[in-house]
Amino acid sequence: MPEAVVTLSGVTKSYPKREVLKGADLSVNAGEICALSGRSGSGKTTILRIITGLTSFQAGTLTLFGESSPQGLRKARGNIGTAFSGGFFDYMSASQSLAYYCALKGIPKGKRQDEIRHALELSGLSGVKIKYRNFSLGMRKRLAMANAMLGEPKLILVDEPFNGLDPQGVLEIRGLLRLLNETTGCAILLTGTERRLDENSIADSLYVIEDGRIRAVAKEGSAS
Amino acid sequence: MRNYLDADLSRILRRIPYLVVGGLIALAEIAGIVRLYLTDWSGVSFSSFSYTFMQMMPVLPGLVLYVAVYNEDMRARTWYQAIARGMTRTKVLFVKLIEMVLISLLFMAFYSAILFLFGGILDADLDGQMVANIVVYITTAATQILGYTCIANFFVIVFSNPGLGAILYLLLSAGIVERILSVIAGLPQFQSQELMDMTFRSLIETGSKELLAGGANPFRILLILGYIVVFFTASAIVYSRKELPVR
Repeated sequence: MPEAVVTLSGVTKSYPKREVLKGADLSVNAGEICALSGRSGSGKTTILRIITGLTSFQAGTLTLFGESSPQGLRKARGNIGTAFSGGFFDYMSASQSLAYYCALKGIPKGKRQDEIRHALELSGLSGVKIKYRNFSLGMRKRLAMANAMLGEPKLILVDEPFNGLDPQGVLEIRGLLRLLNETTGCAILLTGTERRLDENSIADSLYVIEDGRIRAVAKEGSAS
Repeated sequence: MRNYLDADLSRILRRIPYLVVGGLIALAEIAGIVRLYLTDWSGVSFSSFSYTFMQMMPVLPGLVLYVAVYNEDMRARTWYQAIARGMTRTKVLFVKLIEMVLISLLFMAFYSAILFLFGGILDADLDGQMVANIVVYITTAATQILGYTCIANFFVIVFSNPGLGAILYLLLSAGIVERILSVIAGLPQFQSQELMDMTFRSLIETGSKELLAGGANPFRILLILGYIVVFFTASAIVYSRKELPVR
């Protein structure tokens, strides 16, 4: 039986004026790509924020790599890479940004250059010298993923990787996610605004978040 | 904690615009000393120049340091990555404060070295008391930078507005907040000098004068430290409950 890297069980989350999650359940297994779709404001990003500790939740359980105590969760988060929008200094190039995060993640100095080179190659940003402020949306997303893969994470969280991209950009990011999963074996949890072909085509398991609850859906073309 | 500190210190100390500003301030300092040497050179005038120069430190480079350590990081949301990797929010704030202390000390040490070096080379005729005075000016300036940082950050965190921090830091370090408070304290309804005596700036200035006179009121020093500790703790408590958006 595959080992779950992240499990949410009965998680509720309310903001002052609305209840976003009403007992959400979700499980992502080691090595799988899991897509979470839903309308804008349905709570997809909130799920990612709960997993990373950027927001709290009122009830339910979060388990990361078998840990569910606050201290255990903090430790387990060291195995997570995140590809959210932002998180980079405008004045840094791709390699400078990755060097900054190599230091922040505590990657030994002797390994940093190799990790940066590998991440830049995989993300197609090798040789890109311009500063982050001049990056296109697609380049920003690729850099976010390059950063997420630093430090050999076991789980990568990607927030809306295809949003705002043209068809070519979607293809590139889709290829990158698949490559990342195949070469590193890490699990990937990605979110999308709707159940699109983009997520359907690369995800091993699909979930839809509706009315504060998460339900598994069958992949198009699959038997169940 | 150590990794985040290393990453961020390395980032700031390699940032060319900040180094340029730091260099320009050093040039202004040297120009000031040379001008003094050519006009009115004595130990007293040199000590007086040191006082004026160090009074400027919390505004510049203090503001530049504040922007480097806090504003850029907050705007880019790079510290979210530290939190997402399991660092507690209190530790994130603590690392930023340590950064501010270390970089401020580095800058102050640099400008102090220039002061003492030129004072020595040009034979400013400083006696032991004057040197002690200059050390007090430097300590006062460093404490002011730390205090204004903690106060400004509290409001940045409460209102979740990074832009507010630099403005507030400037208003505090330039004494504008103090002036506004003194106008309020002067209103017939308030009429309270005691209130004005308890502001951070006032406590620092009085404490500095007491130190220069050869003694310091321990209670006043505790109050100064209290400002820093209370604002830092309040920031940590508020921040620990904040929702952190990722977009």
